[in-house]
Amino acid sequence: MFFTQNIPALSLQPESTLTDGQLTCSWQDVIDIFEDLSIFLEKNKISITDCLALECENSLPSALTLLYLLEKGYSFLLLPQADQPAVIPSFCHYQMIPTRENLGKIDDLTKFDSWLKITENEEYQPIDDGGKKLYMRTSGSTGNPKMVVHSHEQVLKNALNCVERLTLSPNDRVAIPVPLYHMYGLGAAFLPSVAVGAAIDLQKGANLLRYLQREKDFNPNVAFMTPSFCKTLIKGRKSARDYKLTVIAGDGIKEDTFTKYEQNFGCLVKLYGSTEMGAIAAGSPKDEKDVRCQTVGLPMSGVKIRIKPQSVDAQEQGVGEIYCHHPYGFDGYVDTAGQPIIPEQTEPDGYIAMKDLGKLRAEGHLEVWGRCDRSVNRDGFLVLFSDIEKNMEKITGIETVVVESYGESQRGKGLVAFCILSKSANLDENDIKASCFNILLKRAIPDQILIIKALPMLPNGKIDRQKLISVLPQRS
Amino acid sequence: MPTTIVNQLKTVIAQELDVNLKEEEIDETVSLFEDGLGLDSIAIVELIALTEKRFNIEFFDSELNLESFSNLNVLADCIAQKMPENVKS
Repeated sequence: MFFTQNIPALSLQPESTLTDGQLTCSWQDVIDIFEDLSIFLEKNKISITDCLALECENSLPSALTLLYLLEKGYSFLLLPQADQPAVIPSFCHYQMIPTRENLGKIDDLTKFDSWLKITENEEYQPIDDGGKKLYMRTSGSTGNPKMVVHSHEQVLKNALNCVERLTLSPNDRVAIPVPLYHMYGLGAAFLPSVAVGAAIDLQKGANLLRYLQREKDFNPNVAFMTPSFCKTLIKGRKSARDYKLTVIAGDGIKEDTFTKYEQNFGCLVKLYGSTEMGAIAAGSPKDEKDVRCQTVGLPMSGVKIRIKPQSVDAQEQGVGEIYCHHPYGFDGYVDTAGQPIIPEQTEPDGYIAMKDLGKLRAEGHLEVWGRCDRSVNRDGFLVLFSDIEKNMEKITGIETVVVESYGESQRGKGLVAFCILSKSANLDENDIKASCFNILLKRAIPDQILIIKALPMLPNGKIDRQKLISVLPQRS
Repeated sequence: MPTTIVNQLKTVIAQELDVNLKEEEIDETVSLFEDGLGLDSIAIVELIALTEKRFNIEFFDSELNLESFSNLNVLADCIAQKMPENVKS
């Protein structure tokens, strides 16, 4: 046993539950289901040497299959379940799709034929990856997805780092409305919760109404969210409710949103990570509020951070590109045939460029200022999009600003500001531009301002920047 | 009364929410979510706020559930119950 042997609370909390709102099982049930699943896979001639493709959603059947594959040491690619059939890489022998459609009660989980669809890949070409590998696609917020390879052992150690930093305990009841097929949902939320034997509520397609209903039924004290869902709760929930801890990852959160959330729902911490590295840094509930709000906390145990300034101007501020050395990071990238791809951003001493700008405080806490490609050089100076956004959001009537680089301008790279107005605001683009002259340096004033109704989002809660840019007229 | 409310809700969805729906395309018997009108998390929050404003009501947390918002007919009944003339002192 790999993961469940690391559940110290299994003997203490055998009745702790894993639920998706429709089906609920205890950790003891999980052990029993694993035994039956072994027999089922053996009957289907699936060998431990087969690499599998698991299409996963936030449901009990998916979570059990995922845990089983980790437990037994199968190599597998984790994919989201989608309406369209997924393209399975040639190195995956079988595609597995767990579904909860035919499941009415927990006993039905032993009827694997009814909920675990297994299809052989006709294009299968075996590779020797040494076994016990987890393949994940990158989130694709900025470029083409590629596959990241992790060893199961490193994934577990990464999860245990999160247990320690987030002070998760067997008595916790953890709400997970973020996708299991992303590293945040899997490595920071689900596996650490499994590792302590906490009760877990997996939520699929979370919206305010679903979340509130599940909150009432499950009574969580810990939640893993995106900043946009925090805003949803602030806007939509009528009364305060105290959580022991809420964790957020993904895009940044405004200081006033952070404060409002804490006033209503208790301690909030930020987690910084990537598909490649897992959790890199995270705030601790033990940190002061200002530290939790302004930084992503200290690097996780064993993680080393290096800041490489990109200009003299930035060096003076202590700001630079974040490089990370992670003892439990990824093994490398592979292509669709499972062949290794040499990573571009690796330093000779093993540090990996995170492509984010940041700053290390004297006490070691990490500030993340945004993506490196979210800054440009104008008039010979570094201009950070996050600075422009922060300042423009102070203009009365503006709720949210997202700045992107687009084309060229006389000052250097062109800047576009996408603005969402608050409900009663009566502003147009010219008014906003006029206000910018009062609050921003000339080099930081966006060349174009566009008022939009809502931001396009990716499933992981990050802004879909490619879609955002696509509304602009095409450059010739 | 609920029929009028349903029509007003259709107007709110078509004209005030950031969704690509016309009033005549909105079926009051289908789900508001992915398997029906397709309102996402942000649109649902907006719909709640706009509904409260238009009908001068306020939902309690306990009323913000999937059952009350299962479709526009059900929501209209729920609103009708909460409107000032139906609220008994």
